[in-house]
This record gives sequence, structure tokens and C-alpha cells, in this order.
Amino acid sequence: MKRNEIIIICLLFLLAFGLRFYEISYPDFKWGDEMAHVPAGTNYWLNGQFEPDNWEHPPLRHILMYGFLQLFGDNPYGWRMRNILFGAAACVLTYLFARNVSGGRKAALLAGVLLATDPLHIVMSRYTFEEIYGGAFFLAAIVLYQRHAGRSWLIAASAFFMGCALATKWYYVPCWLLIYLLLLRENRNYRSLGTAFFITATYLFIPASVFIGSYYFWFMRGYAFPEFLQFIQDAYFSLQTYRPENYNPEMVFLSHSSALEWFIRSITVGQGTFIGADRGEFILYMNSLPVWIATLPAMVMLAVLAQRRKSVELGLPVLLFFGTYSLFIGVKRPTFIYSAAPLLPFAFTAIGCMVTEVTGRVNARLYHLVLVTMLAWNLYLYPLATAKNVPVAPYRYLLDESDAKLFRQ
Amino acid sequence: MYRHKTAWSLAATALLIAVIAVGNDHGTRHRRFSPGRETVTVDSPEKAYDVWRRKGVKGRTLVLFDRYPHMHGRFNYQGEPRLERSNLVEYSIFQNVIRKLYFIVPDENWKDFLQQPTTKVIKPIAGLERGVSLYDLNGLPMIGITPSSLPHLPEQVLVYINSDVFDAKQAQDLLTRKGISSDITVIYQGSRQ
Repeated sequence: MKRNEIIIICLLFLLAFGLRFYEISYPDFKWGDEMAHVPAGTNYWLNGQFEPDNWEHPPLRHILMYGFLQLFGDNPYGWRMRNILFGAAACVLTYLFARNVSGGRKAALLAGVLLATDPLHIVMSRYTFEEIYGGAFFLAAIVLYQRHAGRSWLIAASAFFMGCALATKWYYVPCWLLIYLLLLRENRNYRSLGTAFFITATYLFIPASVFIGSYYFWFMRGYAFPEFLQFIQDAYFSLQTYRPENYNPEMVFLSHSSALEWFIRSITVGQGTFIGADRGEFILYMNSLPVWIATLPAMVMLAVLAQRRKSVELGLPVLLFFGTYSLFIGVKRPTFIYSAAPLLPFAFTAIGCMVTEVTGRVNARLYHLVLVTMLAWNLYLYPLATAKNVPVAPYRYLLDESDAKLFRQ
Repeated sequence: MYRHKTAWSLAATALLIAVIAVGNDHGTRHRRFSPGRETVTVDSPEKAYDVWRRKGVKGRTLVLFDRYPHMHGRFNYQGEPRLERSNLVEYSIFQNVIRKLYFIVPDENWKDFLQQPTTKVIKPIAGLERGVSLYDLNGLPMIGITPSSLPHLPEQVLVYINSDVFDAKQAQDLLTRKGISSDITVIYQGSRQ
């Protein structure tokens, strides 16, 4: 990697980190899911129990939470630094992923900048959502897979990060198996018994070890391994029983519970307060529709390009995007907008590739126009995601159309 | 193409086996049993916890002959949870005395039990005519089951019988018939006494 590119990556990290870190101690009380996630970290470490978080989700989240509480203390930094750091790292990993897919810096830069400034990714990076660090582990696994070039230790490292993703949330199971199959398919590895066993042992056993290992504190309650298998099976069945009426009616995400609408219509949920006649503070979870709406066309275009060029590498964002998205569409339980976060690196990579491809054919300068326009739009939304005290007028139409819970001070 | 693939394969396999073995051992080593067997009668439910605490039992299966236990969650208490008359089972879960619960429902009440709003069934248990998996907030496996469907349990269990709800003699006979042994059986003789 050349020096210029290292500088780009450092700047990207600083941009992502700055946008996520700025005024992170506000609010200075536990907000939203933090009220469950923070005490659950300590409860799991000390007692092996999941309360007040859901018991169905894997517990690496609690171990990380406890670690950050020890590092930064039981204060807003301790609660939030984990997501800020992993959120910023995800932007760099998105750059690297898109770089490997496209082979060029332009698509990679666009993908990285879009994630760094995406209002949904930012707001989730400022609290304790597990999609941020789980997604970062997942991306790290994918990037290492892309770069392995036959190096065993990179496959093992990729498998380790995949295990961390799986130990955070179940979202990543389809793509874990997909990468395993791609490794077997590569150079027809499945035809050599030794190589096939190597891939199976590293890419299945290492993630499984990390996943099981994350339950170490749960075992402490007296459980044996057969009970663990039963527990995981029951967790899977329990997740299928979730229905919108099972959630707290005050939950801000409830108004949109279908994954089908994420990339085709505007979704704005969350909460906010109008202060005086013309100002307000808002923490909104929204899809940045002018950017997100390009996702599906970009996926189609990338799929066509990958097919024409017979390139699995180029089709990887499409495979990973739909590998995960199909899970959200297929499950019986409600899926809320925050679950879209792990899809964004693949969506933005596809958009980056599409923009680069199209502007390369029409007019290369258009690339900069698209980059600046998308960046400007995301930054315009930034105050709405981060509880900044803003004038309401420029956002009036967004707020009027939103499903956010808005109060008047 | 891959270097040292045999070594990596063996290392990954050994890692998985080690993690399973360590987890399993870590779990079973945290179970604490009471030497001998005893049956204790108490006049208030919270005294059952005192018996278990004195005997130092931990990580145990409880066979519960009682009404549906109070399960509100640790964080619905003001401060640290305290042992109260109504929260024996939940408090014992918080203290990791109980890791698994068999909640006995009389056969004649089974259909009503399944209709109760507090009964959140995850799935029926394969091979049992009247047995369902239920879970509380802590992820504690709770099995709702009738006396006729109660299987043989190979490990020694804790038994708690509320004699207002179940006849203690019949409950103990049931356990004997099923070959279930207990190191501590607590019989709560409440208002009837």
C-alpha cells in the first residue's frame, strides 16, 4: 500500500471517529438500549446471566461491554467508546473491502466516506448497538478472506473474526457458510481431502470455538455441553416467536418492522424534543434515502458486471448483501431499521462501484460531483442523528413525514 | 497452496475440542451438592433458600411443585434484589443456586396452564406428551411438565413442594416412581398448617 493511500485511510478513520465521538458524553445518562446493555455486561461477567438484555443473543457483547467499562469507567465514555471505535474501524474496513472488490481507490473512497457519514451508522455508533461492532468483526473477516492469497494464517485470522461476529449476533451465519463454500470452491479445493479438511477445520471449527467460548461465564452457572446445545436450539426457536406485540409499545422502531422497505422508501424513527418555537434536539434513526435508494440498482449492475467478467471478487458485495438481507426478509419475526447496518458496507461498495463505472464512461469529473453531493446530504442529516440543538425549519419536511416520537419542551 | 495445513487443521480441531471440554468441565465443576439426603419442612418459602444456602448448593436443577414462580427480572427491583416471600425461585436463580427448573403442572390443569398469559412456550419437548420449554429473562431453562410426563432425571435434584398446591406424599411418591433422587427436599407447609 502506498503512502498516499495510508494517508487517505487515516483521514477516513479520523473523519469517522470525529463524527461519532463529537459530544459523545451527551446525553450523560444511559439512553435507550444502554439501560439494558450496560448493566447486562457486568451481570454476565459476574453472574453468567444475561439480564436485562435478551438471553437469545450470543454474549460476546457483554464481555466487550465489561471490558470497556473497566477501561473507561461506568460513564458515557465507558458505555459508548466500544461502538465509536468499532464504528470508525468499520469505515476503514469498508474502504479496504471496496478496494479489493473494485481494484481502484475511487469506489473504495466513496464507499468508505458514505459509511463514515451515514446518519444511521453514526447514531448507532454513538450508543451500544451490537450491529456496529458485530458488523466490524464481520467486515474484518471478509477483508482478511479477500486478502488471504493462500496464506493459512490469514484464513485462520478471518475465521477468528467471523467467530467474533457470530458470537455477537446470528445475522452472520448465512455469509459465514457462504465464505466457507467459496473457500472450498476456490481452485477446486474440495477435490483435495487435505485442503478441504484444512478449510473445514479452520473456517468452521475456529468460529464455533469462539462462539462457544463466549458462553464461558454462562457455563459457570453449572451447565454442561449438552445443555448448551439445547440452549442454542431453544434460543433459535425463541427468536422465531417474537412478534411486534411482544415489544414494549414505546419502542421507537415499531412503526417499521419489515426489511423490505429499507432501500426503497424513507424511514425515520427515533425521538426528539422541540425547544422553544424554532429549535429542537433529535436522535433519529433513518435511512439516507437519496443514497440508499441507489443500492438495489447498484447491486443489479454489479451482478451483471461480475457475471460478464466472470469475477467472484466483483460479485462478492452482491453475494454478501443478499446473503444477509435474505435472512431479514425471510424471518418470521419483525426486523427493524437498525438491522440494516451490517448491510451498509456492501451497499455502499456496490454504489461506489456503480458510480465509478458510470462516471468513468460518461465524465470522470462527475464522480467528484456525486461524492460531494452524497457527502453533503449525509452531513446535512448529521445533526438529526446526534442530538444537536438545531433550527427546525431546514428539517421541517423530514420531521413532518417521520414516525419519530416528538415532544415539546 | 496452503502452508502447514495439517498443523493448522489439527490446531483448529484441538481448539474446538478444548473449548468444549473446558466449558463442560467449568460448568459441571460449579455444581454443588449436599452430602446425604434430607427432607426439611419450612413455614415460609424464603426459609427454603436458607436451607440451600447453608448446604452450599449451587448450579442445580429444581423440581418445583408449586404455583407459577414469580419472575420479574433483576432490574425491576430497587437496588440489589432481596429475598422475599414471593421470589424464592427468582432469587435463587440470581444467586445461581438453580440452573434449570422443572415446573410441575397437575395433569388436569395442563390445558389451562397453556392458555395462561404468563405461559410463554418456546417449543414442545420432543418425546414428552405434556412438556414444553419455557424461558425466563435470565435464559434459565424452565420446563413446564405434568407428573405423568416427568422423565427420569439422572442427576440429583433439589425439590420444593408447596403443600398448599401439591400433596407432599404424592409428590415424593412420584419422584420415587420416576427414579429421581434429591439431596434436599423442602416442604412448605403454609396456610393449611
